Amino acid sequence: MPMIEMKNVSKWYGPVQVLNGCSTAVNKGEVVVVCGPSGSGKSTLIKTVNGLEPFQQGDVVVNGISVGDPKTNLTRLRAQIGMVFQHFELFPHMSVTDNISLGQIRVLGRSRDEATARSLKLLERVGLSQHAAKYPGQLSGGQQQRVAIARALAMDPLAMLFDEPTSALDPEMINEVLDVMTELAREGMTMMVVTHEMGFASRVAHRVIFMDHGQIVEDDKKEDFFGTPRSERARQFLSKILHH
Amino acid sequence: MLTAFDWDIIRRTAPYLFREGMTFTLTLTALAMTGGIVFGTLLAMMRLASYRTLSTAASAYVNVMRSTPLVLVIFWFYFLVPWMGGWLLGATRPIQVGAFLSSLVTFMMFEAAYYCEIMRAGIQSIPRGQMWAGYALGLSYWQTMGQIVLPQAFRNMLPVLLTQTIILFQDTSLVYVLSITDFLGAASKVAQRDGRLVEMYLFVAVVYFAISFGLSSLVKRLQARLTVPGR
Amino acid sequence: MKNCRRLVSVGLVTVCALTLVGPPAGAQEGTLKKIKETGVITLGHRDASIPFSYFDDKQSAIGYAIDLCGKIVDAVKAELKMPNLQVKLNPVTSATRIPLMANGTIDLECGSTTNNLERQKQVSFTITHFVTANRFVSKKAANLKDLNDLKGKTVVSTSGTTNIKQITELNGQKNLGITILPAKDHAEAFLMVETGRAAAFFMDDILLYSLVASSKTPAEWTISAEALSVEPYGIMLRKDDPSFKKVVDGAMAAVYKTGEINKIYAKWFLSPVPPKGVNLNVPMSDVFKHVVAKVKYNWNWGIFWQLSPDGRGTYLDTLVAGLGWTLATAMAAWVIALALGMIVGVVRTTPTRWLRRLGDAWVEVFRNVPLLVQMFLWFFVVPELLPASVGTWLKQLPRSAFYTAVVCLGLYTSARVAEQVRAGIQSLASGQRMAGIALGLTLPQTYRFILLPMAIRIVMPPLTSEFLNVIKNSAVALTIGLVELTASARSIQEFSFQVFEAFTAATLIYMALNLIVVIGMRRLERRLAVPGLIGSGQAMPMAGH
Repeated sequence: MPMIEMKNVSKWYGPVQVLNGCSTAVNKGEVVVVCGPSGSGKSTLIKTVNGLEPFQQGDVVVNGISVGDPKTNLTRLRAQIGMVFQHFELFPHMSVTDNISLGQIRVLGRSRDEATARSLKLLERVGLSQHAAKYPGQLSGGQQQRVAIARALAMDPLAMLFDEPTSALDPEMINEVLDVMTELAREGMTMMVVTHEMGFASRVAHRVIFMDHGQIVEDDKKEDFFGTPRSERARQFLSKILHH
Repeated sequence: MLTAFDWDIIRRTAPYLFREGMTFTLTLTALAMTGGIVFGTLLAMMRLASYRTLSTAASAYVNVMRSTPLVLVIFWFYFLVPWMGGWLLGATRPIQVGAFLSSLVTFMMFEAAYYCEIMRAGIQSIPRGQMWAGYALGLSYWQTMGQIVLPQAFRNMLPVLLTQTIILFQDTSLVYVLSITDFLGAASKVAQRDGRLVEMYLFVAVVYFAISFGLSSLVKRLQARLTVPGR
Repeated sequence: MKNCRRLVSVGLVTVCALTLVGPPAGAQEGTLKKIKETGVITLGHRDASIPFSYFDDKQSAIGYAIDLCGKIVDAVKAELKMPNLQVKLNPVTSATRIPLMANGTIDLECGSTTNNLERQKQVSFTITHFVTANRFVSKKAANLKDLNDLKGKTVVSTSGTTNIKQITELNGQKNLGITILPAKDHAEAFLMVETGRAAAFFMDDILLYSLVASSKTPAEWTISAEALSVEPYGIMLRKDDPSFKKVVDGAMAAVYKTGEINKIYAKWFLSPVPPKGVNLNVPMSDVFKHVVAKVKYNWNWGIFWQLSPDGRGTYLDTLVAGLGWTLATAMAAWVIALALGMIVGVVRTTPTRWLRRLGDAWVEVFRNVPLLVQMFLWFFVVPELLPASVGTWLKQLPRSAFYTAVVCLGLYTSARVAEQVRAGIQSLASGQRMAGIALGLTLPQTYRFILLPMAIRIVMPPLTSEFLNVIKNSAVALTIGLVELTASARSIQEFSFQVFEAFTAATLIYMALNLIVVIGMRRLERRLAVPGLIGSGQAMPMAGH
């Protein structure tokens, strides 16, 4: 059974269709990169996985639980899927440690001590131990994004979703974030990553999904995608991105 | 006491209420808005001026007005305006000032402080570069302000200016404390003469609500249109 | 107390600038010369002093005093040889008549003004045209005979009159514990008794007779036998103006000599008068007085240390008491506004559609009706719409004006707070909400731990100005009889005639309050500031006060 399975997902904003019959599956331990031109629906697609974006047709099944089913406890489901946002979305009024501890205490019911201990351990893992007491506003973008990853990991997620985690970062900070993600993939985390970082995709991903106009145009093994993409649109996209 | 209600009184007195009262209220609102925006814009330019005396004087004026209740300002001006007028016109005695002119001056001077703050934000929202570009073309301060900065500032602030005007429209009801026959004053005279407070005051509330709500919906629509990107 | 004194002396210095403009001097030039130059004579009149001076059905001013003024105007026309002299009518109230006379707005006040020594310091009177006594009217059923029966009760009188001053003095001297409400005019005062908000109305008996005669149920009313004083009425003119006064006195004397006065008197006191055709049936009592005095507007900053007529202390104490009511009203209303405003503001950002609509409706209703109208709705209308027993209980609550003001201001401000809270929450990027939800927090948890803590910091500056608004807006409550700061300044002005001193002191106190609140809130903001975040950004200015 795949960890994440999408079946024919379609979504409209009023009259505008933003997802058009998207189907794919992510197996346990698999890393899937989603790419495509801006406005192609990749961010929307990844947000349907934990129900942040509702959809009108089809279904998404995570670890055997249907996201579209109104009876599903979405709150509990979301707690099991980590998510990292383009703009970090750390909580600016809480210290770095408190940011990581919040979900552990309020959702998982861990004690404050237990949560703090785990938070500090995760901070060490993303290389930010010395910043534990600081506030998000006092960190660089790359550091903030690493804290955001630690915050997601603190929930012991079954899978991680990354929504353009590096596109709001200055170029010199991109690698520190990608390194943490690469490490995570190596440890066998199931990951779905929306990104333009083709270098990361070719090194780390098992599969690449290419989207355009709300449709999944390509869903290939990494080697196939970078070797001989089947569609003209994917070829054009790749040539633009790679000659950059 | 006031057991049975007489809703027909509204129909009977509506012509008087609107002809006398609402005319006063609307005229006062329109003129006070015009005067208030003009004076407020001048105040805003003073506040942003580099001459300290000018900016200090303007800020002092605005701060005094903004920290004093409107009712108190109305009392102040009702007694002050005749002397101010005489002094301004160089007359040897306080001039004759009717209720209307007195309240007009009051609201112009009071609301100018609020319009000033709006226009100041509006002027500050225009990048300095616009000013420099004007000077670079050889325009004077007044030309640059008048032709380049103020029109943009005014446009950006139009919704807020209009919202302030709706507040002004509601505020004019406070001339009640001077027994002036504005819309509320007219209704309250009828209400007290005939002992029909419930009917008259409810009617007044409904009319004020309809007008204010209608206008603010229009402002909202205008705002939506102004914020369309790439205007 | 020490601080207050310092405040007032600061005021003294500040307002020296005002003195430079010159003390008001309306009379030196002579009213006749002014009338000649402008071609206009302006008569001040009342709107409900039946039968002296009031509006009829068609909203034109009529009455006994207006007829007498007509005679005076004729004499002025003859004196100046201006047959086409234009006559302007200007409504005045008890509170405005003397300042308007002093500042030159009106030339004659044709109403029912008591001629007494105190007023003669400010204005002049022509020959007395009526004599009345200060008594009270009440419901027969209440069985109120004299002052002692009124102990501990609420009574009403018209603000700015000698009547309210007298009852206030007596109340203080005899320690009667009467609550005295000031009303804007006679009609409003009478209505307070009619609707049960006050037990008795103190006023000149002639006015009471007319109010009773034109009420819906004249038989239900009784006028006290006990009289606090006897008072002559006179038509008012500016002081220090002998040439004008000569013409006016001459005209009045002529009316008396020729016997024309009998005709005019009978027309208004012994026959049915408009608008309802009631006959007051008050026979004539002929007393004539003729007083002239010469005092200009006297600056007197020492006024605040003089005793006020309410017997409770100095005028400064009056001001401090007013400040107390302003603060009490503002604070209590603020608690309501903050609590309700937070709830409504949050509700307006939730995903539940009907809740949002409800919140929107709340805000629109309170935002689009003038505060003064809302005040009247709560004070005059709501008690009538409730079951009779509840309504009566409400109206007879001691300090009902205070409670009404608190509720009204609280709800009014809650709408404004809600708007700020909504804007604050929505100004947070929607990503914050998503991040909270993606962590597995429930919606309430997301609000409690993430959205609200940040939103509160963002709305702190606009909430500060809303709090300042509550302080200022509490002045509107003077229209329903709450003697807060502005009202106490006005009452000082009415009792002492020191307009500028009284209003200056009030203005300075409001400014000081403003300053204290702003500094206090700035401190709070600094304490709540989040490290690494620069302020909360410059918000767009909101229209408002």
